[in-house]
Amino acid sequence: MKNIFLLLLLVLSLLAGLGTWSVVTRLNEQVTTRFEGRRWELPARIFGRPLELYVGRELLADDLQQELDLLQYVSTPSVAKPGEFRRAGNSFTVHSRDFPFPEGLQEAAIVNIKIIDNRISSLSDGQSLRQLDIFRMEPLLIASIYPGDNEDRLFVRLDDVPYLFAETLLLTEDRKFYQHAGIRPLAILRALLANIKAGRTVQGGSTLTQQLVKNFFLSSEQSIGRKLNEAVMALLLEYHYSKEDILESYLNEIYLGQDGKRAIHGFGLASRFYFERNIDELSPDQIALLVGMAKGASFYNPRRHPERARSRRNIILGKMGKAGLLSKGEVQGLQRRSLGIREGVPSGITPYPAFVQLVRRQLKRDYRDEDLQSEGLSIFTTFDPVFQKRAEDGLQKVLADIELQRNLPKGKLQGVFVLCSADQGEVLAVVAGRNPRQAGFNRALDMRRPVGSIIKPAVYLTALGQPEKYNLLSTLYDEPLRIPVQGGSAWQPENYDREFYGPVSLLTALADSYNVATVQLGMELGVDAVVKTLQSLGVDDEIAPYPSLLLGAVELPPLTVLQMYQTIAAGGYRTQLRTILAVTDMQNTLLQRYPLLVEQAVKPGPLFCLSRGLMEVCQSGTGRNLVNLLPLSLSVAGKTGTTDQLRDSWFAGFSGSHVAVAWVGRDDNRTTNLTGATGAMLVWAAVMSQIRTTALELQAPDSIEFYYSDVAAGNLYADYCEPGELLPYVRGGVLPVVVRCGSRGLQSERLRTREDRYEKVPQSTMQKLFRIFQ
Amino acid sequence: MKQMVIFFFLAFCLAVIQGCSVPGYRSATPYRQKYETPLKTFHSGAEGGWAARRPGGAVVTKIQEQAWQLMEMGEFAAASQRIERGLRIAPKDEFLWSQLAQVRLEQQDYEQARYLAAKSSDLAGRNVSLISKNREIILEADRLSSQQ
Repeated sequence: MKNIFLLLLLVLSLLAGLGTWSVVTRLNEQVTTRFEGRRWELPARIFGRPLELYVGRELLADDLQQELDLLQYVSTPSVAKPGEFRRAGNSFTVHSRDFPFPEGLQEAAIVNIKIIDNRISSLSDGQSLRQLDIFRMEPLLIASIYPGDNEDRLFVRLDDVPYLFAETLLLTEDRKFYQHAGIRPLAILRALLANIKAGRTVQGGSTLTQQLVKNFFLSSEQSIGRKLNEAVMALLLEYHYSKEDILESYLNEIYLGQDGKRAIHGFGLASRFYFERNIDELSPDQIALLVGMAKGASFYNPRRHPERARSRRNIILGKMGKAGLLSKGEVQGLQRRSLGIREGVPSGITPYPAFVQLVRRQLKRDYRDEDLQSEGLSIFTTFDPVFQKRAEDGLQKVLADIELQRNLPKGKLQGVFVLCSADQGEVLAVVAGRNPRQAGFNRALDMRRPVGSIIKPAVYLTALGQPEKYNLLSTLYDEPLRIPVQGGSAWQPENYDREFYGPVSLLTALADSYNVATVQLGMELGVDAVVKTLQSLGVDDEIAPYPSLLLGAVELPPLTVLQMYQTIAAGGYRTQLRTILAVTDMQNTLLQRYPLLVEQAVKPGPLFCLSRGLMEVCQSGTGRNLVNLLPLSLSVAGKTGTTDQLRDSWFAGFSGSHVAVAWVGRDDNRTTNLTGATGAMLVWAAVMSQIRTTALELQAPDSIEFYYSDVAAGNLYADYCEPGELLPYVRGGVLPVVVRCGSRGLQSERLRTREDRYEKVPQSTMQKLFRIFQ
Repeated sequence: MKQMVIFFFLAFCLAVIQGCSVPGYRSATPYRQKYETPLKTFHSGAEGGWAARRPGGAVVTKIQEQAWQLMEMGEFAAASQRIERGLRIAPKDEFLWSQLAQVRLEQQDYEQARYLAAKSSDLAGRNVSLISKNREIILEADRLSSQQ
């Protein structure tokens, strides 16, 4: 009997041993699999452009201040830590932060910047005072792409965590962290007795390792089974991994708050979320507050329960004092401080949804959604937050002004403004509406509206691309025109003011946006040829080759128009508009670079002549009011566009370094009573006059030669002559008749015809007014 | 008449000698000598001159220098990145565009080399030396791409 009992005990022990072994093996696998693999799904982070600082750079002191504010730098007299700066008039001392650029880590540095006459006059290292050639600030984080579980975290390495932070954490959460093996049975027993005595939970006995296990692998269920699993897993974790590894994981795993759907995990993100500082920039009281929150992030939430959070912080400060981490005086001083929580911390929702949407579309070509949500990628983009701000402000102000001046219903007008660099096609700002923070329908990318006359440059470029037939002085006939339409009545295009101007130069027809002359020219060239030109300029959309296309009866999104004008602004060298420059992984290894690629889409000679024509638009044509709206020195080129019944108002144009497109209209597609010049052009000018851009100075390519030309008469002069102006012609192309200075009218058939047939026709007052306002 | 013939003969001989002395495009000459245009050589520093007048000032010159060094080390991707950084400061700088064309040529992206060299020439105005250098790049790109 005794033997049977012993045998049974043995079998039972064996079974229990086997069962335990199997559980331990399963838990072991769970622990190692998670720890060996990727521990967290880390969101991708999208950054804007870094601000480059160098001597000679045009920069307003207030612009630099704005950049520092956006980057959440703190103004202090001492400038002791990264993320701090001091301003004295137009001189700045900035302590930059470490930043992993795609080319490598740029370490934090103190930089002195002096601005005189709106230019950087001196740039030096704050410590050695050595002059610096160039320095760049870290770029602004503009958006994150979160994992499906909406956990957001900013991974920090243990080495990057200040000593005081780690010590305070261990002091508060697990004093014996470096001595135990994962669990502390005596502490558990002590806590158990204290809790039984109090009748509620007043003390915790979990080690930091157990807390990590609970957060990482287990639910918050309170049961003996879960507690046992927690203990076993804590032991296993300690067996397999170093203390440093476990501590680093804890620092990054812990839950520390909520921002809408976004869960704030880890001290790295929490320090930015509550203080807008990096973890290595925190003061002792800020450290105490965050460490105190580990006990219960919701309960001690400093935004919702400031008193509770303050009292908890002061307890931690007291502990720090007792442990000798702070002096008694320091503790007393710090305990009196306010919480210092920054209000209005950028939410997880991007403030720039329109631009980010464009980035995500371009990312989708190369990356899966899962990778973007989990691999901790850094995406470096072309976004310029200062330009974006100017564009948002400009659009909002001009639309409000127009509504006020014209007694239009408030808030009915909508607008778009898109901006890119001229030669590189880097998209710098995207404003998709009056409320730029609102995500949703992206007018800049997805709105398709008839483009009106801003399409005309394609017609004129098609002509100028045949220099053996056309030049800027070629005569076009702005006369009544009937174009038969298959199965319908003939189309009779009209000018905006319903007048006809007779024989005019190609340059004048472009500058004054004559519809009939343009249609006449387009029909001569063939609509298919114009479609081809549009495609060369970067319009990928399918376009039906109807004659009405010549006047812009084609619906395009503003971004496509921007692409078209980028090709023109870049002298015919098209660059696919781009937002992404590089992508790096969590280890800062370069995954992909998006290099500058250009394509010679149009011959430079004809393009140069067209650009000269577009400058004329802004000097004496439909865009002549720009002379009053822009700084005197800022010469630009561009084209107005107005659609039927004044529904859409467009302006597309470029300076020496930037291309921009503005649209104004209504979402319900009703009339705005605005032409291109009285609506979108005002927005365009308001923004362009506020950004740092350069005047347009056309550089003639080798294939261009200049002659003194009489635009009205359509003649060339052999040499300088009073009514003549220097105009470009493609070398080897057809040239107008050359006349002697003084014999202008005698030899100009165009002038004679105009005098005989058109200039004697009286204009009604209304027609004259129309012309003025156009 | 006889003196004229001798003069033209000597001039012809000198021209031939001069022509033969131009190094081949893919000779062992270092990049700087092989590519850098002799008409406008940039020097950083405070002595004024072209570097100071150049759009973007001395910093563009410095960036260009760094890019040359990277090219000499065979670090073409890094050189390209550096030049693009320079172009953000001075987008119409014909020398940077030409240098980028050279980088693309080395990266065997012949189409880009041609476009970039052509763009540089369009921006070069009357800088015949740079235009001629760009023409060389285009010819070389044509030759190499035809061998592929």
